[in-house]
Amino acid sequence: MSVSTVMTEPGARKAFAAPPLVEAVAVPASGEEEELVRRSREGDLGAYDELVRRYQERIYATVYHMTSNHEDANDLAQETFIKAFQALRSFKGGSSFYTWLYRIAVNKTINFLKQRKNKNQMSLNDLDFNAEHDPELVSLVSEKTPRREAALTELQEKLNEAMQKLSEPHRLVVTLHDVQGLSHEEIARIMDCNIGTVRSRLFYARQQLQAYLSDYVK
Amino acid sequence: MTMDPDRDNFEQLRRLMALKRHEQPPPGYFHSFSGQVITRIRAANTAPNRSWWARFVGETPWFDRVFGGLDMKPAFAGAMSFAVCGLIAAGLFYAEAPAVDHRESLSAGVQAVVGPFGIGQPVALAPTNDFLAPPALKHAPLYMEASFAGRAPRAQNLKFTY
Repeated sequence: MSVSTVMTEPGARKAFAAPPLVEAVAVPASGEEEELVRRSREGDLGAYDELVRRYQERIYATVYHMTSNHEDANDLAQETFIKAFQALRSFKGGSSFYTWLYRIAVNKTINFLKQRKNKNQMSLNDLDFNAEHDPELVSLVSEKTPRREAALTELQEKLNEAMQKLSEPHRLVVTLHDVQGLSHEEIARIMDCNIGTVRSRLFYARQQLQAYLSDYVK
Repeated sequence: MTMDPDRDNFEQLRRLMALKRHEQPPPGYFHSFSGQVITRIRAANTAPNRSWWARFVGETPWFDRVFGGLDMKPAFAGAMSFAVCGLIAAGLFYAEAPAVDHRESLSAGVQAVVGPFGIGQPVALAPTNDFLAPPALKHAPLYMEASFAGRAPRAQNLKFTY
């Protein structure tokens, strides 16, 4: 099993010691979820509210890591759920609801990024308290400066700048795999491409990031 | 170096990427998120001044099924717009081809002949070309056609002496 696989297979292990931003594990469509989707399709907003609560963090995180901008991520995540509700009648259940939802979010985000005029406008979220106490992260910056918090913030900016230099498909693969922990198979389904393409994009994206962040990555 | 990203040495980079997971939206952000989404959906559904397009799509499920997936299939959307552009171009092309209306042709031919000399004056009437020719004159006797000898026939003012 690959080191970075974070899926539901028995014995799967997570690649990162850091706590995940969201529990980005593929959720098989349960009967309960199918029922929620059916009721939402009939216009039951209570059922749809439940679906939004289930996936809001994952969708927001995906869009945020793609845009590096909280306000844009907020707008796009909300629009994704609104669009999904309006399009529920066209959802046939060929894929799981969350794969379908991810596709809407990803396409909306990529369209937005292509139209965005100021490509370098970042509005980053604050790092949570745990970041300062993550030994792996601290080891990356401790040699640079004793001011750990400032160093982490600087590293965060550099990391986001490097992410924004990647093309949208490469950034998406890194976001879904290395940040959110989705498997190659899930990413292939979301991006509607084959697994080989996902692997090669991931490889290339990591190479690029490694070059951009050479001060931190030896 | 292989192309398998999981077997290659990106360990430090993966540790660095973990920092992204610590980027969190403002506290309480997700408590109100779903409420905002539902409010916007409700507002869109109940707004009295919904656009005619939103009303049309909402009241025609088949239309939404066919075209609702365009957001998720950009290639399909591109093919659709290409087909629509092709239809418009074909429509314009065929619209420019002249349609022959024999009634208009006949009246135009008669006016062209009668106009300069006034009604009632005797004229030698012959078609100037096939397009303007009234249907009856298209079948003029052969000697008439022969007498023009390939030149463009035209009307002339004639004087008769008795």
